[in-house]
Amino acid sequence: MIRVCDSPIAPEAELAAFRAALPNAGAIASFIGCVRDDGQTQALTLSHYPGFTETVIAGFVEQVSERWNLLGTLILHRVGKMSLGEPIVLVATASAHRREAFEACDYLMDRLKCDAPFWKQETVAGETRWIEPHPQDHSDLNRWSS
Amino acid sequence: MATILFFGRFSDLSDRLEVQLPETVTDKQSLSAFLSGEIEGFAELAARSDTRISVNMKVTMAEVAVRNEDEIAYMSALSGG
Repeated sequence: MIRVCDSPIAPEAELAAFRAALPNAGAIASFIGCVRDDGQTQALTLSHYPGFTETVIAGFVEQVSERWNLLGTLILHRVGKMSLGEPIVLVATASAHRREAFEACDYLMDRLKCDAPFWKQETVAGETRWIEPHPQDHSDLNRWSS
Repeated sequence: MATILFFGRFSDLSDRLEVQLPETVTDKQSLSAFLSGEIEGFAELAARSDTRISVNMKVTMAEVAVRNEDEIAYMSALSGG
């Protein structure tokens, strides 16, 4: 399931529902990305390209399903204004064994960081500024090319 | 009329546009040249290597034609997660 939403994500409830729908899964890996309190950031605002963003993410899911043997995939991504500590993204993958679930979850997060049509602004001291991927994000993504 | 959408840093430069494309605009490159003349700061941002342009929600590195019924989106560096 893929969902881009402008209302808060409840990761625990979403994961419980994901797990309940996959009683045969031997492994479920998940990642929750939250607005980090770095002592400066006051809020984060994400925007997306409705329709296109969901299509691009669906492509990631197709690719991940070709590479790993998965039983299910869950991607929830927030847009709009978020406060410190709020979940931005939830990714979960289910498989028969742990390695596939771990790797697929990791891969999906790398794709979301660098290739998903989202744009992120942080508010610091009342001013907003764009945030772009770090070189490390691209290095992380490149790990999957080998 | 073509619809031009602006995302990320591009949204600082312009809101969504509904424009009748001049005859000189036939593809992404000529559209970018046209918009560079219309929008201050557009040329610099469009020239960045991390800028992506979609035509009818399809992104290709190759040149593609643009027409008046198309939806074209200019996107600065993507940043999800």
